[in-house]
Amino acid sequence: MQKIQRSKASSNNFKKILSMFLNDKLAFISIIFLILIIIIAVFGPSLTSASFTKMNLRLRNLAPFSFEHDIMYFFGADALGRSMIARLIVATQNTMFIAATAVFFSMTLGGILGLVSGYFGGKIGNIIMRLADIIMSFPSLLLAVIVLYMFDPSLLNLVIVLAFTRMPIYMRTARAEVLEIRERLFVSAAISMGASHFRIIFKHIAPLTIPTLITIATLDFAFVMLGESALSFLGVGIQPPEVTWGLMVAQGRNYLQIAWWLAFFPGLMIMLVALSLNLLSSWLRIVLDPIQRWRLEDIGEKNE
Amino acid sequence: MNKLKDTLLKVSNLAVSFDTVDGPIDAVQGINFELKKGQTLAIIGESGSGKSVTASVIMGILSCPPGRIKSGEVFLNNQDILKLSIEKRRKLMGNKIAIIFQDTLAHLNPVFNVGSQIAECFQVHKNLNKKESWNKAIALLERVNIPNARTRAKDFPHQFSGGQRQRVMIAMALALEPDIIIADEPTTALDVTIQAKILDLLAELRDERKMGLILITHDLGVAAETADNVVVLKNGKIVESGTLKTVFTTPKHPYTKQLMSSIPGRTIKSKKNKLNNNSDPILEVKNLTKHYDTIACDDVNFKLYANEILGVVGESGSGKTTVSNLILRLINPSSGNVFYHGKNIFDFDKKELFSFRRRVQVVFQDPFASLNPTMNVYNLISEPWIIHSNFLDKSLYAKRVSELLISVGLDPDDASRYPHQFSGGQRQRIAIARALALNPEIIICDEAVSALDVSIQAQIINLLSDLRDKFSLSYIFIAHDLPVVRDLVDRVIVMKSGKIVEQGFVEDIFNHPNHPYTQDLLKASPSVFNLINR
Repeated sequence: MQKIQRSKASSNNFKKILSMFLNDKLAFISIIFLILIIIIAVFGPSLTSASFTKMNLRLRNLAPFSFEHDIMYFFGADALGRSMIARLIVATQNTMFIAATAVFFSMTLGGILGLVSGYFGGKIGNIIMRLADIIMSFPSLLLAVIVLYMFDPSLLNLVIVLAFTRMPIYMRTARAEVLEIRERLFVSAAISMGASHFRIIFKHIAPLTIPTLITIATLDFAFVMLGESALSFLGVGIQPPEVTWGLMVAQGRNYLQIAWWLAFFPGLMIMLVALSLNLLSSWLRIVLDPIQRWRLEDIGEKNE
Repeated sequence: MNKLKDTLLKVSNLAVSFDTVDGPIDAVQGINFELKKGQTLAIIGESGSGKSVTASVIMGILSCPPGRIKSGEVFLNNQDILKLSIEKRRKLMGNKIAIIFQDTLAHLNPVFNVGSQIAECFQVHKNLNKKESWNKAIALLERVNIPNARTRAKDFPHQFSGGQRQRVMIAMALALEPDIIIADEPTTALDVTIQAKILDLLAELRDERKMGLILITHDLGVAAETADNVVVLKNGKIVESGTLKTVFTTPKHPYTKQLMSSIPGRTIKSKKNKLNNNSDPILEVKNLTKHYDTIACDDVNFKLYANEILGVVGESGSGKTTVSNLILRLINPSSGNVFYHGKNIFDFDKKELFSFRRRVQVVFQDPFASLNPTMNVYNLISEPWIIHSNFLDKSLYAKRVSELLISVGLDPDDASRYPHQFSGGQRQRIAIARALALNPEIIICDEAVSALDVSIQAQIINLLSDLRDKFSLSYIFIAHDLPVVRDLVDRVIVMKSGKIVEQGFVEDIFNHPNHPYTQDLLKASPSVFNLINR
């Protein structure tokens, strides 16, 4: 009986979320685009595996939108005559993996550290914030270059370095929010109820900081993609023949005057992903706020 | 003819609506009233009744859109000011009509000293030079009884107390000698003793300058103290109007009747015999002291017995909230002890503190801030059980939440809604339901009804009183308002500057106050009924 109710409730929830998407057209388009990107990132490389390293020197810097050649060359070819489509697809996987994991880890770790430092204050808070200061006082790119020179420039190390250097912004934002929320009455109410620190931080304070952190994270997503390309350009990031959008932009820069499409398509992808994430985050911000949520809920056909 | 001349302002058939996403909302629906020279008209209404909208229309500061004046006229000296051009109208504002707001800190410019803010009126409207206008400003500050006006004029708004800031606002409103002053909740943010002084000042100035005063308030006591005529608004309509005495003593409309019957402090019930002081107190506060930069609470001693309601009364800064926070162990004392069933709460180990937290609950003043906005009612009320996990089996949560909602007068279906979807009074009911969830022994109500409208105040107080009998609770009821306390509590503690100046049974305190401060407090918030029959 209870189970039936629960499954009913979850299908209701799904419907509710769907209708909230449909009420915000831009967010709906964004999520569809992002789902497409994720599908490409997961399944794309296995379908194109061979062609992305296959050089065809006769087709060097082939212009896009021509039907003379294979469909794989529709978006043109790069300086070594490799198919742009294949390279973009493989790059999708690398870029999304690096950016998503780096942003995810810097957001969760930075957010948690910021929450803890803001909530407890005192010595612990001070140590954590000075840590943030130290990270921020180094030029992040320099720090990354040094670390990646000393260790292997592998995918994992790249993610760790990017996550680490982007952490302070979450720490500081989360802390600033917590300092204000901590003084609110409902926190006092929770303390006098006997709630544990863990509960107060994660149940009462965290939900109010999450919308802000997510907004920063989506802005950061594009930043991380570009940061990664800078590192790759310097040779300490992704190692060829592996490729990312950022690296494609960086490499294509030399050919801008004769072959604009080398930098244009990966640049377009970065922009579209960043844009979709931003639109999605503003939608999410409204959904996460119970006071604003009605804007996306069906209130009947009043307005039509 | 003479009669017509005396009428300063006449509002006829005024209707205002606001365009919202859900269609237009009628905020004011065809109201009529008039104001005569040297009179005070009180517009009484609860929040959302349209009283401030009416004032904004008269002052021409209604934001349109979303506001829209649908119909009606506002005659000032037989001239419909709604038909005037914006330029002409602006000349009237300040010159003929001036307004005093509730939130003085928000309405005075924080980066200019108060003298220059008042002097500005003379420079703009009367083209006086700097020195003349400065002197005039000082004269006005002196008139509203700001001590050392000449030196204080150079101070900035934040350097004045709330009451003094309100005096500055009044001085500014007087600057151009208007015929009409509109005071929009002028004393709501102030302590009772200061409130009385401000109201006296307003009445005095009205008589001195033969002005008309429109007093907008939700506080029936304030209206009773100053008004000649009364207009009662509800949902944008006038439900009753007339002289103060007729409306207050023989209300005709059911809403007015309900309003008048919810005025606190009608009766003092004798409660002495109800208590047996022979039993041990459940809570005993001994020599409790807390220092911040100043002394927040100094050598406080009192006892709370089972099934008793103890009132703690004092103005802002008297240390009431510090005492409540100390008892709740939200802060630690500088010295002193609080004994709960004979054991000092500041010596509690983790386990004892945890069970203490179950037995002692709190209802805060501001129900808008004390409920987490991201949690729905079900989660809010069931949270105590999640924390005290052995209290109630999880499968019973839903049933118990419904029971609690019913016992505080809400609908069980409300469980899935969020706090912002409720009114202030309903939210306070949710907070009370949450406090009841763990079957506590003591509930501390820190100004639990101060933020609510009178009729809702009365409902909450009745609810608290019923719940005490039903669940044999004890309350510590903190308030700044004496009449509220009179209906509910058994014993009263009066605090001033962190010290207890007087304590005793409610009837003794009200009938024979010993300490001069208690006498002042009583004088400042006299029973509405005595006022009408003065």
